[in-house]
Amino acid sequence: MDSEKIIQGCLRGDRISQKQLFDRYSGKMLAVCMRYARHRMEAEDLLQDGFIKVFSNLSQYKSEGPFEQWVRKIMINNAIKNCNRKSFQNEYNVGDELPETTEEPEVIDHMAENELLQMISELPDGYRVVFNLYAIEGFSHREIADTLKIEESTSRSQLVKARKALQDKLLKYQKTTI
Amino acid sequence: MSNMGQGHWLDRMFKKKLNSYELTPSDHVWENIAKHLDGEKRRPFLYGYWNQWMWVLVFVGVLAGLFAWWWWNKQHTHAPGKNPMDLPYQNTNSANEGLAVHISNASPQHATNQTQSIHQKSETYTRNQVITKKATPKNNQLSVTGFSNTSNKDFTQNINEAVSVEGNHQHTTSESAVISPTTMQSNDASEQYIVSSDPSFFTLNAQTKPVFSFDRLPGRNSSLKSEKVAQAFARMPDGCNVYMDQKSHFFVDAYYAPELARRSFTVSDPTQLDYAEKRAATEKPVLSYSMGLRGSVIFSNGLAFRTGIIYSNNKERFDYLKETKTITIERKDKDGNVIGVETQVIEIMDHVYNQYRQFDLPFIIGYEKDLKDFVLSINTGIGFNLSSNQSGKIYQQDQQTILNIGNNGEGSGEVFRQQLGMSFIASLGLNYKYNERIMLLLEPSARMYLKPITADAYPLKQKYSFFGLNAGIRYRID
Repeated sequence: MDSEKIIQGCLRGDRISQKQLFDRYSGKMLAVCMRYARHRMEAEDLLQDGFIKVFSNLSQYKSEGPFEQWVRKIMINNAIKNCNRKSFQNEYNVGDELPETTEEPEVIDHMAENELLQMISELPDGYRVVFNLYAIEGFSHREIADTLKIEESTSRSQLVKARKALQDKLLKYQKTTI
Repeated sequence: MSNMGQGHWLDRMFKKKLNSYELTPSDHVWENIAKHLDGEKRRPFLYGYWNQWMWVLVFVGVLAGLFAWWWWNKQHTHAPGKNPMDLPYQNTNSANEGLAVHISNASPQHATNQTQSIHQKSETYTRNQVITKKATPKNNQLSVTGFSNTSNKDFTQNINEAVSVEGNHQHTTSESAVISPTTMQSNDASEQYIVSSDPSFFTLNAQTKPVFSFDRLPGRNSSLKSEKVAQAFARMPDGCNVYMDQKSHFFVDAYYAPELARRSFTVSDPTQLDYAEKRAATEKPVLSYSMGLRGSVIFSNGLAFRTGIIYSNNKERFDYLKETKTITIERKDKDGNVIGVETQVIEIMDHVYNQYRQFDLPFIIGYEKDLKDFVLSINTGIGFNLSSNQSGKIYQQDQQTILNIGNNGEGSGEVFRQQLGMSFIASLGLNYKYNERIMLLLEPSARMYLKPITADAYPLKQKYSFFGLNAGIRYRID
């Protein structure tokens, strides 16, 4: 069944269609939520809230873009709201001076996705959200600043620190696996 | 997403690995979602839409009532003793018996028999004329009160008075003369009204109908009642029956309408859904109103054109967080030593009433149907918004700071339009003819703006439709 028919069914309140829509997108969306959450339980809570929002506001979907993108935006927005706003503050002037390595560790090719997710989830809230938005969602610092209501410079700072933290984790992982 | 194609090796590697990664959620996630959706299903019927549906029901109810009334009227128009038009013809009688006049759809043969057995009298009633005839044979007083029919022609009736029934009453009348034998054509081609004093005329014209006849009724000692009814009906003018006199007529309407607003917040960007929910949760519609002054021209075929001015005022209550206060509670022992400190944050709420005001220029076409003492009108058209302004406060997109949306409010111009463009208007009116000049208006109406009141650049589209009940006066100029 195509997405359009499923959406129409959901709009009518048809439970089977709602389940089909959930089954179709919940796997990808749980992975999205995992990147923003600290652990799986929190990610599943985000997924649940996000899907309730999707079903409640389905009539607002105007077919102007891919439905998956629309659902993903709701999930990300829901996840961002869940983060403590203070996580993005008082972080300025710290990370800019941290050295970044340009060397690409080979170990990353052999790492499983869940191991990478684990690394991201161990980052502080502010680092994690900015890294996700910039590196994976493709937001600019201006967009991140607007979305998170923070300064652009704060976004840059958080990204640098997130990268540095991840590099450290990768190096540590490389050492333990060798 | 403006950093596409750029980036650090780390960003690229993580994106490559995680962008299309999937996980299987636990079963309880869907179960919880389903429970929540079940909760929504169990909400009362019309939950969230009751304002809208209530007015739809009002529309349908009024329409059904009108139809039922019209149908009943159609079925009983000529039924003896059931037509309200019969009531004024109740006779007064000092004895415990009375005489009543009714219009009967007597068959030609029946009519002929009547004319043979009872005294015949023909009279012509003119518009707005109340005719009282007194015939006082012995102790009986006979009053006949008449007024015109719903058409705009002279109302000619044949009255058969059963004055000889029981043989006690000898009828005399001071006005038994006949105007002139004539025949009038009503709307119904088969229906003729015949005026004549010659009984033989009726025997020769078996198509005579309707026939007024007096029936003897038990115990109608109601001379006062008869007068009251006569007066009441005398107010009902045929002058309002403007649709059959081949002329156009002009009216001025003035009305006030309590309204309920149906509001919708829509977003094109799903990241703004939270903001839409916040706005919807903090701004609650309160009863609104509109006022209108309009001129109408009603053509002889019932078609109508109306225009004028509509002012509407939509009121909403905005509840917001005014301030937060942190209080510290110290627990002390008997000696006054602090044994514990508790901090509480108290939210102090406040509210203001937001008002959205519009002036609209309506262009409405309609059709009016004359229903004796009522006029049913169905109207639809478009309105052009002349101006729109607002006052009050709303939450900004950060959902924390408050924006003053008054005309002088900072940034309100970026949020709201000054003109709303076109609207659809529809109404269903039931107008009571109070006298030949004045009608009382009762008109359920709907008005829907095609554009939102918010500016194009604003991420939220705030759109309205209104359902109201216009109540007012219609004055006939010509």
